[in-house]
Amino acid sequence: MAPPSKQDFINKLRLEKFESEQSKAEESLALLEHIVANASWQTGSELLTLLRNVDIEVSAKLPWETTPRNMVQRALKIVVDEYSSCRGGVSDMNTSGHPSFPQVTMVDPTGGVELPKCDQALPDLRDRVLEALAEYRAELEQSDELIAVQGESKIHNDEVILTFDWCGLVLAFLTRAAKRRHFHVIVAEGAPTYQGHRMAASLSRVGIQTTLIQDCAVFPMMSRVNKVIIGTHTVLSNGGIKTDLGAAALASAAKFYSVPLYVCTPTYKFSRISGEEVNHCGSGSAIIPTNTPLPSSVNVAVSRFDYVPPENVTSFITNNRGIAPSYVYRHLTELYDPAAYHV
Amino acid sequence: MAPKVEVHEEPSVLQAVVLTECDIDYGAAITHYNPKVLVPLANTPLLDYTLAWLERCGVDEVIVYCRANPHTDKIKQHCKRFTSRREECGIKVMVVVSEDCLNLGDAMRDLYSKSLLKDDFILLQGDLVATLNLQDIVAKHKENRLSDKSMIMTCVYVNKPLETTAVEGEEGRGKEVTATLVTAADTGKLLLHRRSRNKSSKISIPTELFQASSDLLTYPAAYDPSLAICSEVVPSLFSDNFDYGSRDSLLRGVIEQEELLGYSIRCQVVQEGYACRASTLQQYQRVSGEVMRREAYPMVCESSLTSHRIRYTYDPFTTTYWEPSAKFTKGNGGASEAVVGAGTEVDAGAILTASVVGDHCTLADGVIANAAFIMNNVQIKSGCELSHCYIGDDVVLEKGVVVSSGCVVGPGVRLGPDVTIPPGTQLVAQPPHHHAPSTHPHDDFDETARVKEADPSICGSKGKAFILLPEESDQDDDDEEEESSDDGRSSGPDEGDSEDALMMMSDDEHSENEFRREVQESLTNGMRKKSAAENMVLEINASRHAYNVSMEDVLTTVTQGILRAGQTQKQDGSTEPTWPGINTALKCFADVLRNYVRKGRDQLLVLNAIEKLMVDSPEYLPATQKILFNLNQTFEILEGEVIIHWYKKGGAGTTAFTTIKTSIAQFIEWLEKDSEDDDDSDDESS
Repeated sequence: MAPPSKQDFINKLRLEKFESEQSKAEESLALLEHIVANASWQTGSELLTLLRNVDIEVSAKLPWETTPRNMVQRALKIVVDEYSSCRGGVSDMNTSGHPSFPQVTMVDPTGGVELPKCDQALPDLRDRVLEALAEYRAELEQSDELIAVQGESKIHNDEVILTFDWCGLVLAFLTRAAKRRHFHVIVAEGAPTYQGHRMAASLSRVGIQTTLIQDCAVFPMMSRVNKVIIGTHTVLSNGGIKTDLGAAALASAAKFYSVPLYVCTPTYKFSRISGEEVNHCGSGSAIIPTNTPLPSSVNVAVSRFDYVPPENVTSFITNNRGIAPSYVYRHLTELYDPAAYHV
Repeated sequence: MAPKVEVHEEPSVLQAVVLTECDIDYGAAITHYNPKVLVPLANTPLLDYTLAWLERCGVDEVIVYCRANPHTDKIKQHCKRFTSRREECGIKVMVVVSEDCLNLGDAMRDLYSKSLLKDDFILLQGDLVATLNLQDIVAKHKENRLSDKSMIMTCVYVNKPLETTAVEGEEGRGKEVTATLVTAADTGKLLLHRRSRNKSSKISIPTELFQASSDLLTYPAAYDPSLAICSEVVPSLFSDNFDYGSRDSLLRGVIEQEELLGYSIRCQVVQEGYACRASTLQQYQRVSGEVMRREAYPMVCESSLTSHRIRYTYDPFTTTYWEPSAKFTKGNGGASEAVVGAGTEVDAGAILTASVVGDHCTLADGVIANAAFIMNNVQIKSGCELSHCYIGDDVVLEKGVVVSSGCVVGPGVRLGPDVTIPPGTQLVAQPPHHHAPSTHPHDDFDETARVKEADPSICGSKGKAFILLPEESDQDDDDEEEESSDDGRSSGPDEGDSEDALMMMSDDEHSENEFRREVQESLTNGMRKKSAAENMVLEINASRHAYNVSMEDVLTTVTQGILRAGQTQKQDGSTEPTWPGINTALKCFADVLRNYVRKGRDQLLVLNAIEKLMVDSPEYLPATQKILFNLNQTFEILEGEVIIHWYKKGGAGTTAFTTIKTSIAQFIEWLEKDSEDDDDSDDESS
């Protein structure tokens, strides 16, 4: 296999050749590892700049692709940590393993924050960073499995579960639970891509009783639902989620009936972007069937993502532990370096 | 000639040939300054859409084919810029320049002789904006080709709803862009291909098609994006048949001579995806609107096709796009469907609809622009109204200028204040004479060439503009070579007014004119070089095959050509054709003419041709009698009886006949007398 290159990776992203967020995460990590191992850099700062360039490029071209950017942020954090532990814990910044809470709040997210200064050339930094990244890779590869095993503890017998659109993670989660539990799943079809159809087919194939409904029919169904379990595209810094269209209506319906809504997400989907900063617009041809005469004066606006506010999310099921939306910010400070905030 | 199917062991490279000299262009006011494929559509050059699409579809190598002209370097540089962004992993773009390529056929022949095409390739025009899934189409083509070796080409059509195709004016959606197809339902083999010329609702299908296949699939008006997947046989076929000029002629040839050639063509009518050519300005406007409405997703205005960066802010509710550095307020005065480039200032009182504004322009208060395409560095002062027009770079419009629909304002033009430009006008900044230099002396009498000072009644007191008149068609024929190299035109209908007149001249008429010009040229050359008759006949026959002209037309053209050849040789300031000149021409080409005159009917055709020549150029009249006499007596091409018969029947019935009648009455009289005593006349003539 050819060594991963930044250009290739971005092209693949652009042409939507990745099957899932997981593969995006794995491939971007491979790219970052390649940069650490093969690029010519001397000091920690040089490495940080190299890594951050990937982030900058992705955000300029494909701002809605958060996973690769999260991976870069995570790698930056690893480099900074390794750098300071290399220097024996004595550093010019007061990083002592875990940054303290007040320090995080003082960072102004809008200002152009400089990368942390790591000017010394440390000979064994490269090996240590690679080691840490390999560790992280192992964590990444296990994350789906770690989430799936929680299935049977979260779902009880004879429950009615509502899910939405296609999500490999939710499918694994439910499949695992179905080994020990007997329950019913309702799938909302997820227009206009209708990946919910695929979801329903996969669920029924593993022997789960499945009902397929329209997206707009979630409200009448909600009264008999015990739990809503969905996947997501991104977890935003305020604890809300950005995911496929239709999720907001689903979440409000769940809120109305006080049905708990769980979001299955690996930690790499936790992003530092806030609110509904970036929406990605699609094309009218996605929702209008071909050969439908529609006068050009009709303005068709198609958006790709939906925003679910944090108050409508009950809990995140992650590979680490369950996290409440209000604690997402805390989790972010553990994952990423505050100084890399600005992108 | 036989199809050679080679087994390819190395990984096959998918190639695409992009023709930049599209068969129709936007008129000299635009293409004199910028090649058609680099005209920005929604602030992105047309070629980028094609290249980006091909890249997206996994094409490895693109051959951008252009004719050598002043724009070649621009195209080369542009392609270089496009690929340099992509480093080593992007598509390869190769620019191939040819000296004398007039049409698609020439391009294919040239590429064949350069043997640049290795395998199946995609053939398309550089003005295509498409999002079709090429990979599927190519895969299907290869699959079909494996099962049927005689299949050489897959033509791709798009089945669009008729409602939308009929909306935008008959002209733009005319014969050039749609085709009537009849295909075999099971294989998709193309059985009948016709450009839908008439607007009638009936299609005639030859009955033998029903005998051959039980199931026929008919597409009355499939949109033709001029896209085809060709096998390596196609270029060789073009090179074997030098009369194939366009893809249509190849289609016709292959379908008509299926038994002879043993080839067949399939077509795929694609239902999904977008494809539209910005072939004329009307199509340009249409495609521009569709791109703004994101029908060509994922090629959308806000992301740059070269760098893939997000360059514009997009507001889905008004369908407006603007560069962050532009002064443009969201929902500006009811703006809808607008693209505003970097550094442009649009006053809050300006109303934009379906318009594109380039970089660094200023649009003052009260400007109303509807479907206006404004390029870079344009200043438009208050109160201007623009609708359905094209405004080139660096144009200045003073207060109160009204530009009506169909106008093209070339780069650097100043207009105003308070003038109204009538519909369909093309304006340029320099007097048209300078940019279309012509060696023909009669051009000096062209009125527009005389005007060196701008006319204030046209462009206003502060203005500087010249009207570019659509060229006369006969002058066109003479000047074609030079003009086409100057303006980057192709051999397509060469009418200057791109808005309406483009479609006026049908293909047949055009090829006839072209043929006439070619015959005339070879005759004149032949006379100068004193070529042998056989060579002349060969040359004329070659032209005849190239333009597919009937025998009768050939005879007419040759007759008139010979007489004209006599004139041109003797022309030294005076346009009067002199008898000695005509006589030498006749002497020179008597054998050529004799070759074509075989039956009595042919003689009549010659006579008619002479008469028609008199209609066009009455200065031949005095020589008529001598011409007929020589043809009859000296060269024995025309029989006396035939001439008398023709004379009594009233000739071809044109206006010139009455004058001819009087001038040759003497000759006829003599002929009649002559024919009465046959033996004598034979003796006399010898």
